[in-house]
Amino acid sequence: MSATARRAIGWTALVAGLLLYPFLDRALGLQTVHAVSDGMIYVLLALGLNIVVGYAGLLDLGYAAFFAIGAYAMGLLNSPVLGSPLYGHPWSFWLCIWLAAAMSALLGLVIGAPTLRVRGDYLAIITLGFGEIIPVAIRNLGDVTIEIGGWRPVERLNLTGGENGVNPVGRPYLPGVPFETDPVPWYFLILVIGAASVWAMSRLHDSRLGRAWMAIREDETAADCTGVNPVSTKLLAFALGASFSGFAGSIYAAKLQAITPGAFEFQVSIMLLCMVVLGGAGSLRGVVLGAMLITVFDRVVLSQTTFLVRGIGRTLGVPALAALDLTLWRWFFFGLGLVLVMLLRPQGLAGRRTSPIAPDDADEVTAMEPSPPPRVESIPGWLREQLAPGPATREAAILQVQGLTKRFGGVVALHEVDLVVPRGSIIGLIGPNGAGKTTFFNVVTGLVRPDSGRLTFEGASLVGLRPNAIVARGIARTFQSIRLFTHMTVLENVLVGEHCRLAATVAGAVLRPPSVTAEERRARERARALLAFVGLAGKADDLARNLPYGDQRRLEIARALATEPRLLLLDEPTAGMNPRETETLTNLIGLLRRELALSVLLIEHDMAVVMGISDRITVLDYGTRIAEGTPAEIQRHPRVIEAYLGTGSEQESAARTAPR
Amino acid sequence: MRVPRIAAVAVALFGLAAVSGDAAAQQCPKGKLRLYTSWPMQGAMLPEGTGMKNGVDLAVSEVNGTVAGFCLEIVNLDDASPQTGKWDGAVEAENANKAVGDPLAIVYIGTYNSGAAKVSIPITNRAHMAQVTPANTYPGLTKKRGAAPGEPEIYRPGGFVNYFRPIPADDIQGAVGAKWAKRLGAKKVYVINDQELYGKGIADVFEATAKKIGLPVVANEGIDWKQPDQKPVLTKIRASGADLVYLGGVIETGAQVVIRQMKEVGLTAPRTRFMGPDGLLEEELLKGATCDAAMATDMRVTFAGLPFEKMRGVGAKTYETYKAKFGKEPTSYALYAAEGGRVIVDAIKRAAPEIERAKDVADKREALRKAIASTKNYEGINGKWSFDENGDVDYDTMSGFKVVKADGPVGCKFAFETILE
Amino acid sequence: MNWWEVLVQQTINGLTRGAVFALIALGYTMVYGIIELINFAHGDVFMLGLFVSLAWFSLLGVTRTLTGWQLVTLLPLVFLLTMLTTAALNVAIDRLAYRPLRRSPRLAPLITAIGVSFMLENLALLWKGPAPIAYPDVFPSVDILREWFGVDSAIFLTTKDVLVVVATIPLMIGLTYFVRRTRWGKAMRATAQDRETAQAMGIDVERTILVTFLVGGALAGAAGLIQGMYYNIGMWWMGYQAGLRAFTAAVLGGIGSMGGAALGGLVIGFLSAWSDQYISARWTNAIVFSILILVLVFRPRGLLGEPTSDKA
Repeated sequence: MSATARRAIGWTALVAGLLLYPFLDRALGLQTVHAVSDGMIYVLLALGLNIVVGYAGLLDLGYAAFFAIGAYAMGLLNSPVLGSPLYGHPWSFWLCIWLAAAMSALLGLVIGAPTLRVRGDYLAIITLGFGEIIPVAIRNLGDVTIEIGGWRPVERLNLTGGENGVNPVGRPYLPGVPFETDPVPWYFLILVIGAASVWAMSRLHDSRLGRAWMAIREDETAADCTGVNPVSTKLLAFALGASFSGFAGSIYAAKLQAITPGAFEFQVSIMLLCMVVLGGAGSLRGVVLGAMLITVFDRVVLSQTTFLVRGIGRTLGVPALAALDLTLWRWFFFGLGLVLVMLLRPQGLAGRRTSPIAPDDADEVTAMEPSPPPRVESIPGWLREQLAPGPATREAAILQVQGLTKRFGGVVALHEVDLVVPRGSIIGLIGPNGAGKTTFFNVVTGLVRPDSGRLTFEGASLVGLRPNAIVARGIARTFQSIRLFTHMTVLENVLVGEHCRLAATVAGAVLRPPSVTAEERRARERARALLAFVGLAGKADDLARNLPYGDQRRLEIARALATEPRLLLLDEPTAGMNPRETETLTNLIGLLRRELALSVLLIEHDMAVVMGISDRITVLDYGTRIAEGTPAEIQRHPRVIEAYLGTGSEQESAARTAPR
Repeated sequence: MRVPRIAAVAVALFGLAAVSGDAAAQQCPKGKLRLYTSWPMQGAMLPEGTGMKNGVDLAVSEVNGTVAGFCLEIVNLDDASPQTGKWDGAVEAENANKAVGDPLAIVYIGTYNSGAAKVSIPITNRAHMAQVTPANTYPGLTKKRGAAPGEPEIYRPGGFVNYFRPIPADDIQGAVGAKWAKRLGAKKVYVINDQELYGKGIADVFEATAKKIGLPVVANEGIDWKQPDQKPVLTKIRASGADLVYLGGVIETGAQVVIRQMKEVGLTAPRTRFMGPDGLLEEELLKGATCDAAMATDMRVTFAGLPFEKMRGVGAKTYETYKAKFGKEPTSYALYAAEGGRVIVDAIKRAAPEIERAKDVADKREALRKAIASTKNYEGINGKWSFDENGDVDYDTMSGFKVVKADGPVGCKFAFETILE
Repeated sequence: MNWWEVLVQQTINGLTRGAVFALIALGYTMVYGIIELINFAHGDVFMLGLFVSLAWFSLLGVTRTLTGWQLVTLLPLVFLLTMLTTAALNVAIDRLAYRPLRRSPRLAPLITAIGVSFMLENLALLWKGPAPIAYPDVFPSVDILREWFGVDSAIFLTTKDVLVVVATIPLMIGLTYFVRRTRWGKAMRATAQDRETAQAMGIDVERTILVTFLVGGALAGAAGLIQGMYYNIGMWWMGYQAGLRAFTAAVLGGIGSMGGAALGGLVIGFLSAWSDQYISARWTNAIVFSILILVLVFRPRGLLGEPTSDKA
C-alpha cells in the first residue's frame, strides 16, 4: 500500500471516528461526550498557546488570562442578568464569540507590548504577572466604589459579577439544534471550531508568518537581521494566540452557562503549558494529543481505574485494594507522567525527532561531495532582475560612513571612522582582533546604535533604524559565528530571507487567495534557484543544523541574498573553510559583483582572499581607521604592518595574516 | 496508529469497570432508580465529603435499598478538579449532565459549594430532575433576599422549582451571627472574607445586619487566602481597634492561618474575639494547629440547625445510628445528607405509582420532583418542617458553638453554647 | 496604634515575610543563573523543608519550647539536619529529572520541574493529610519591647521576628562568601557566565551544577524551618504560592543576581505588607505584579541585573 493511500485511509478513519464517536458513546452508554467536549475546549486553548510557545518560542505562564477574558467577554455580553445597561440585553452567541476573540486578541497586544523592551524569560514573568492580575481584577471589579474625599461618584458598581461570576450565560441558537443538556451539539460545535483552528494554524505554520515566528524562536537577532520585525511578529503571535483562547473561553462560558473567577487561576496556565510541551511544542498533532491525554487521563481514566482496582480488590477479597483511592494519588501520577514523558521524549510525544548533529568535519564531507563551482548561468534570473540597476543610481557611493563613533562604557569601540562603499565594488575591512570590525557591521545593520557619526545608504540616513528596516532598505549580512535557524529546513531558512519582500497577511496566509498562492509559489521557486546557485540544491529539506560547516556558510549567504540586497556585508565568510571551499566562495563573491553589480563589504582574516578580491581596503585598529587604499597600497602601509606585527600582543593574528 | 489503540484501551477499561461493579442481585420488581451525589471528595474536603456520602448511605440502608419495589442505587461523583483541589464548574456541570443523561437517574443530591450548585441546578431543572442539597446555604439559590439580580429565577429555566434544601440559608445565618455578636458585647466589628461565593455572601449579610442593628463595621475586606502569612491584614485590624473579627470562609480557604495568626499579632480575648459561620464548623479546623489560638480568641461559630447532641426525637436517633454504623462522629453536614436522603426516600414512596406509570424518564423525574416539593410536616432531625414554595425549609433554628478545651489528641472541640434566633 | 506604630509594625511584617522570600528566591536565582531553568519544584522543596524539620524535631523529642542550652545546641543541629535533607532532595531531583535533559529543548526540564512539583505536593499531602499541620513553638517567643526594655508600646517585636532576620543574615553572608571566595563559588559564577568556556577551562560543569542544587536546597530547607518556627503552621500547598512569590522576587531583583534576589524578596515583602495595610488585601497580588511589570519595562533586567549587550 502506498504512503498516500495509507495516509488517506488514516484520515478517513480519523474523520469517521470523530463523527461517529458521540453516537457510539450513546449506544454504549458511556457518557463521556461531556468530558471529551470539555477536553476539546482545552485542546483549543492549547492550540492557541502553541502559537506563542511552540511557534514563536515565547514562554507564556499566564495564558489563562486570555481564557478568562474570552469567557467574561461572552458572559458579560450574552448574559441577561447583570445590572449594567450594556449587558441588560444579551447579544447573540454567534456575534459574541467573535467579539470575545477580538477582546482576547486586544489583551494579547497589551500583554505583548512589553516585548518591545523585555526579552527571554523576563517576558515569561510578565505574562505570569498578567495571569495573576486579571483574575484579581475580575474578582474585585464586582464591587467598585470610587471615593474622592467624601464624594462617591461610583458606589458598589458591579462590572464583572465579582466572586458570584456571571450566571447564566446565554446558549447559542441554531434552528433545530438543541444546545441544552445534550452534549452532542456542543461536541460538534467544538469539533467544527477545533478543526477550523487546526486547519488555519497549519496554514499559518506554512506561511510567511509561520516562518517568521519560527525564525524568532530560533534566533531573534538573526531574524531581525534577515528582515523579520521581531516586535510586530511577537505581538502578532500574542494576539493570534490569544484570539483562539477567546473562542475557547466563550464556548466554555456558554457551555457551562456560568463562569466564576476561580476557574482561571495560575494552575490552568501551567496545565495548558504542560499540554503543549507534553505533546510536542510546535506540532499541531502533538498539541492535540497532549491536551486530550491530560484531560482524559484526569477525568476519565483515573476515576475509572480506581473503580477498576476496587472492583478487582473486592473480587479477589483484598481489602487494601478495595479501599484504595487512586484519586488521592492523582497529582503524584500526573507529575510522574510528566517527568517520564519528558525524560523519554524531551521533544514531546509528537515532536519532531532531531537527528544527531552531523560531524563538524567539513573536509571529509566536501571530499565526498564537492560543491560545484558557481557559474554565471546558474545565477537566478529573478535575482538578476530585482537587482538590475534602477534609476536611483545618481550617487556613486552606495554606503557612506562619516565620523562614526561608538563607546561601550569606557571602551571606545569605534572612533571617528570614515568609509565609503562605491556602487558595485568590493571593499575589504581588516584589522587585528578586537579592532572594531564586527562592531562596525553591527552599527551599519542597526544592531548597535552609534554615539555619533553619519551613516548614509543610497542617500538616506540609516541611523536609528531597526535592523529589519535596514534589511528592507537593501543591506544584508552574514555573521562571524554562523547564525542559521538551526531547527528549520534549508529551504525555510532561505524563505525567511524573502520575508520582507513578501506581503501575505494573516487573512491571506489562512485563506490563501490566488495572489498569496502565487506569491508563495514564486517565493519557493526563487529559494530553490538560490540554493542551486550556491550549490545546495539537493539539501533543501535537510535541517540547517545537520549541514556541514561549509554548506552552512553558503546557506547563510543564500539567506542574505534572498533579501534582495544591494549591499552585502560578509563577516569572515571563509573562516574555517578549506582552501577549495575558500576558492569557491571567493569566486562566488566575484561573480555576484560582476554579474549583479552587488556591492560587498567584507571582513576577512585570510589575506590572500581579501587582497585578491577587494577593490579597496580599510584597516581598523583599536576602533580607529589607520589606513585606506588599494590592496597594493595597504600591503606596503607602515602603520598596517606595525598594527599586525608590532607589539607582539597580536601574535596569533599576525601569524594568520602573514601573506601567503 | 495511535488513536484507535487509545480507544481500544479505553473501551477495555470501561468494560472491565462495568463488570467489576456491584452485581448484587436484589429483588427489584419495578426496576432500579439511581441517586447521584456530587461534592468534593478530595483534599481538605475528604472528611466532610465522606461524611455526607455516609449520610446518604444511611438513609438508603434504612430501607434496605428498596422503596415500594424500586431498588435504589447511589452513584457518588466528585466535583473537585485535581488542578486546584477545589470544586470546579466544568466538573460539576459534567457530573450533572452525567446524571441527567442516565435514564435510571431520578434525583441529584448536591452540592457542597454554592458556586457549584449555580452550575448544576439549571441542568437538572431542564431535565425535571429534583436536586437536594445537604449543605448549600447561599441565599440566591432559592430566594430574593441576599441574592444577586435575577436570582433565583435564572436557575429555573423551566419555570418551576426543582432545587430543595433541608437546611436554612445564609441570609438567616449571617444575620443571626451579627445579632449574636452584639449580644456578646461587641462594639466594633471587622469583617474579612475569602472572596469566594459562600464566604463573601455570608460576610455581606453579616455586615448589612450589623449596621442595621447599630453595630459598627470597620470594613468588609477580601483577603488572599493562598498567602500563608496574614499578619499584615491582622495588624491592620489591630490598628483599627475592632473587638470582634468575623471571617466569612470555609476550612479549605485558610481559616486556620487567620485564627492562628490572630494570636500571634495579639488579637486575643478579651480585647478581640473571633467569629465565623458554619463553614468553619469542621473538626479539621481544630486539628490544624489552631486549638490554642481558637481558645485564645474565644472563637465562636454559628450553625444552621441544632447541634447533633442537642437534637431530640428523630435527630437524636439519627445521630446515634450514624455513630453506631460508621464508628465516628458525623461531620457537620452528614446528618443533613441523611435527612435529604430520607426526604427522597419518603417522596419516592409517595410517588411510586406515578413513577411506575410514567411514560418516559422526564415524567418519572417530574413525579418525584412534585412529591419532594409537597413534603409537608416532615419529622426531621430538627423537628417538624415543610418545604416552602422556594424549596427552602420553613424553620430557622440556629445554634452557636464555642471552642473549648477537651481531652484527646486535638485538645479542644466545638461545644454547643446557645440556640440563636 | 497611631500611624507610625502601624507603619513600623507593618514594616516588621514586611521584613520577616521578605526575608523568607529572599531565602527561597536565592535558590531560584542560582539554579536559573547556571542552567536557565525556572525550577518550579523549588517552592515545594521549601515546603518539604518545613515538614522535614518538624520530623527532625519530633525525632529528637522536641515538642515544646526550647530553652537555654537546648536552644543553642538542638536548634543549630536541626538547622543542619534539615538543610542536609533538603539539599540531598534537591540534588536527587536534579539528577533524576533535570540532568538527563541538559541538552534537550528548554521547555522539557521546565515541564519535568512542574511534574516534580506535583509529585512533592502529593507526597506531602499523603504524608501529613490535607489539614494544615501544627508546628510546635520550638523557639521562645518573647515580647522584646515590653519584657526586655519595659517599654509599653503598641508595636510587637518578638524574639521570633528577630530570629527570622538573624537567621537569614548569616546564611546570606555565608552564601556571598561561598560564591565570591571559594573555588566552588568561582566555578559557579564562571559556569553561569559561559558554560562552554568554563568547561574548556577545566571546570567540572556537572559537579558545579550539583553544588548549586545542593546550596539552593539547603537554603530552601532553612527557609522552611524558619517559616515553621515563625508561623507555627504548615500547609502542603504552600510551596506553590511561596515559590511563585519567590520567583517573582528573583526576577524583580534581576535573575541570576544573588543580591538582586535578596533585595527582590525584601521589596516584595514590604510592598505586600504595606499594600495590605494602606490599600486592600484583595488588591495586593495585583499591585505586587503591576509593580513587577513596571520595573521590568523600565529596567528590563530587574533591579540589580546586569545589562548585557546583544552580541552579533
